[in-house]
Amino acid sequence: MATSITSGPEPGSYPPPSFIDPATLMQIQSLELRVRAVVEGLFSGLHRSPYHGFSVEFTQYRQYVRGDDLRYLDWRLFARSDRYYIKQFEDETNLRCHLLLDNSRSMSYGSLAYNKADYGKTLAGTIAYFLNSQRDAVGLFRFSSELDEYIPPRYRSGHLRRILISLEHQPAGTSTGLITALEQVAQHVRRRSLFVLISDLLTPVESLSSRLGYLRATGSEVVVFQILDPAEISFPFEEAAQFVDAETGREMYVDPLAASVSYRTRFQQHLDDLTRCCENQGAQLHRLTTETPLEEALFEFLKTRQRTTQARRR
Amino acid sequence: MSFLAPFYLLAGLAIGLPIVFHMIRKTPQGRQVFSSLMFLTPSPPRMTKRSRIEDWLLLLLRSLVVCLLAMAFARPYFAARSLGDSLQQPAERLVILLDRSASMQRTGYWERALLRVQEILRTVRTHDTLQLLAFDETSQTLISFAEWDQLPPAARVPETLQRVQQLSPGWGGTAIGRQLLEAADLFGDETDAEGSGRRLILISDLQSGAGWDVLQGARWPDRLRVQIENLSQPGESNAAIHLAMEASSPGADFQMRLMNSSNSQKELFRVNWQDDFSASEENETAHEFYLTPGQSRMISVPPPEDSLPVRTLVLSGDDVEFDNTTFLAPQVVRDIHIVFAGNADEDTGPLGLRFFLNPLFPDNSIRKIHLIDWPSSEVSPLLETGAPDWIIVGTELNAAQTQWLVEWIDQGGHVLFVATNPEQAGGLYKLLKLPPVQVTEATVPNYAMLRNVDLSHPVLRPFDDPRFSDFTKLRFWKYRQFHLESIPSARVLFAMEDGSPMLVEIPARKGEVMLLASGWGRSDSGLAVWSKFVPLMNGLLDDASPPTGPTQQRTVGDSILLSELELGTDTVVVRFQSETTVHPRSDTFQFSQPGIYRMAAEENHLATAEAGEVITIAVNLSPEESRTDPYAEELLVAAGVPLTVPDDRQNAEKAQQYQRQLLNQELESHQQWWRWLIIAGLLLLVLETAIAQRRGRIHQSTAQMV
Repeated sequence: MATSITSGPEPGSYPPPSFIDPATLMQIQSLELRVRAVVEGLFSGLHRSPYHGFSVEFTQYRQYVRGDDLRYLDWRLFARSDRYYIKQFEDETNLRCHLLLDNSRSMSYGSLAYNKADYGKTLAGTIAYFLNSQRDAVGLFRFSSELDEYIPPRYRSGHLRRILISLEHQPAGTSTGLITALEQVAQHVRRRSLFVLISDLLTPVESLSSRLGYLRATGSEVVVFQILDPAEISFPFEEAAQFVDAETGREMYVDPLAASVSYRTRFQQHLDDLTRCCENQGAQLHRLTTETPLEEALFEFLKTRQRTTQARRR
Repeated sequence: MSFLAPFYLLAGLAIGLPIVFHMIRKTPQGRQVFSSLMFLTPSPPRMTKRSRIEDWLLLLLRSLVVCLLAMAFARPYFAARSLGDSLQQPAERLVILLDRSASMQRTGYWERALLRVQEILRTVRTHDTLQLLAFDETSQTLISFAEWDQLPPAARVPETLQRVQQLSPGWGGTAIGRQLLEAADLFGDETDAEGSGRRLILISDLQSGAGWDVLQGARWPDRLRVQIENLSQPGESNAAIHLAMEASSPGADFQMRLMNSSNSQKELFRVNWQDDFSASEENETAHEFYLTPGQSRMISVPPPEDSLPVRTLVLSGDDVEFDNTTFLAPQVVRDIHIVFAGNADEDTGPLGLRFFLNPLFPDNSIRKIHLIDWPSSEVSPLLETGAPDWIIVGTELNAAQTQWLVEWIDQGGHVLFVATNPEQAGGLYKLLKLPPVQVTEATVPNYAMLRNVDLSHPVLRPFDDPRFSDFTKLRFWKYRQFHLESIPSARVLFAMEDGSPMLVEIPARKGEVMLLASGWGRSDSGLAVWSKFVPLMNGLLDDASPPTGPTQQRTVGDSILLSELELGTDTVVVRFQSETTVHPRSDTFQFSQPGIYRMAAEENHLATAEAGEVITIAVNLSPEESRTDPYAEELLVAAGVPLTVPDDRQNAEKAQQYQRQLLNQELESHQQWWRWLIIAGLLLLVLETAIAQRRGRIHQSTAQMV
């Protein structure tokens, strides 16, 4: 699992790449189609879905238990055997992906020509476009201090556009409602899905760990993109100044000469905790700086997914 | 330069602000938005001190601007010297009258008086002039105006205080009224500057027996204020006892006057003779008397059983001790021989003269009257003791008697010639050695009255008072008419309504003849029942034979001529208490303390008790000094005394301060210096801005070049 911070040699020019970057998309198409051939839902028809759906291809019977949908009860078998059985089919389904985009004010910070929010939106759009092109259902949870908008995963015409429009919203909120948002996501989504969390994750690790556990409890796969600004890592400030929290507006007088060492230590500690947390919860953590080319990020994502799928098959 | 609102000058302290801001500069605070502060810890703010001032000129200009603004708000003005002088409080001439009479001997009074003097002296300013007098019946100058002026200002108050502290209260009476007027005259003589203050400060216990009467209608100098410093204490009981009348005979009671002050709280008093040799303090012979406050009464005090000639009577029962002792000296009784030439057998009836002579001249403590009849059978009145003191002629004398009497008059004898009938009256001219002139009997239809009373004569002077000068009740039925022209150098004491003289003083050679033109028998006149007849006749006796020698009872402050004592030496030895002094005979001796004074020709005579060799005089306090109840200040106001209240001076100072403030405001509004200061401040600000801009530009270009 990639935990190292991937960064490119040069920052991208501003304006940042459009939500749908054709070059990135082309690169993926030429590279990823095969890579993800065996991955569930990545390319429709190239693989068999590991999930049991309601398709025409029967797989097995299962003893009815209370709560099962009566529509799938095999009445003929009941007539023959006087037993209740549920008919299960192997459905050739597409990937159901939920994009979880942190749209809080802390994402608006950026020491480059663009900020973390721009980067995150582009990343989310790229993934959505890519998955949409693969006929996978893509949904969006956009949250700031609370859940701002929820677009259920669909694959239909215009759905991608709706997602892209939602992504255009500017960051809002006074705090990162990541924890709350994850709780709400867990309540909304009960089916196995792919969750792609795009956030700076500047929040206490302890509470994040349990929320990730909620998502993983449904058997869903969780991919975490941590977007960081290079300044947040290196803390390159020299002049003492009144530092203002981008989210809460709280002010603090900080002398970087005295505080930088402590900052780096504590920040690294946070990253380590976060890495440990994702490992424990089985989430795939990709740590990106805003300098990282999106193609690399997507490639890393696909590589990781491929490794996961292969491991699961074995 | 003065300021109307000097507190605004404190704003000038603000010039420290630019310096402080310059010296201590906080690091500029930039604002840095950061994604999260959760990994940051706050740093303590860093201050950097810059101990070096970079731009003196700008600092100077800014400080100057602050100063100018502060001065402008303080409203400056230049006080004109003339106005300032006119507002200075004028000099004051002060006269302090310090009471040192006997009543100030009371406990605590003198200490309070000294404190008041100190307080007053503390308030005296350098340009004031002061005179301090201590007084009882007379005044004593402790420091005069001239002395005060001559002393250096720093030494004036200490010197005055030293002189006052050397003083102590005396035993004299109080003459406040007279002393106040005399002190007021000190201002009248001075030609002090117009507008200067004149203040007369009286420090006294204001006892009522202090001779206030003379203040009625007195004229006071202009601008003089009298300030009363009252030392009296309320609720102080004082009683006193004084000799009213000596015992008429050796075994008789003493007639004393007991007085209780009006503010007294006590009514029961004890009087006893002091016995220096008694072991017990409680005298069993004490006499108790009740007396309500404000009253006085005569009491009879039996003489003590001992035979001491000098006696001391002590009063107890009141709060004040100083006037509780009365000293009594034995009186020297003088023998007076009055010779009456008249019909001795008439003494049985009121129609004659002799009948009234005994009651006319009663004996008293200082005299014993010997009435001697001179019958016509005797040429001269034979007296064992020598010459008679006075001869009353009420009958026609024979030739031998007349001759003797003429010679006696030649030697200085005094005769009262009573004209009982016209024939007898002609004998007057023989006594006067004048040619005889016929004397006629006056024709009186009903009765005749007096007129032309010469009250200036010493005999009649006691009647020179509206209360006693009524002579209309005296009626005459018979009198003899003398022709004044026939008697040269006669002085008519009073005359009848027809002009004929009734009582005439006629100097004759060395002696004197007093003529009475009517007898006092009831057939002639109402003289014998006239209320003024006894004092008149005793006055005539005193005139004929004046009392010699000292009065044995004296009051403090009295003085005697030592030559009157007739001790026969050139010096007189005086012993008071245990102190003996020798004085020349020609001196005047003043009694300064109450007590017993013994005087003799030689010191060894003082040991004896011989009446002829030692003269004992008892000196007591003035009875007025015992009237210690305070005199009401309202009565002083009513008497026209220009009293001032202590607050007057403070009020005057306040008013003057207010006036000074008004004048200052007017001056400031005329001058309006604050406008110019603000304009100057603004100009300096413009200059400062220009300089600062120029410096900034130079600094910027230098930085760019670098």
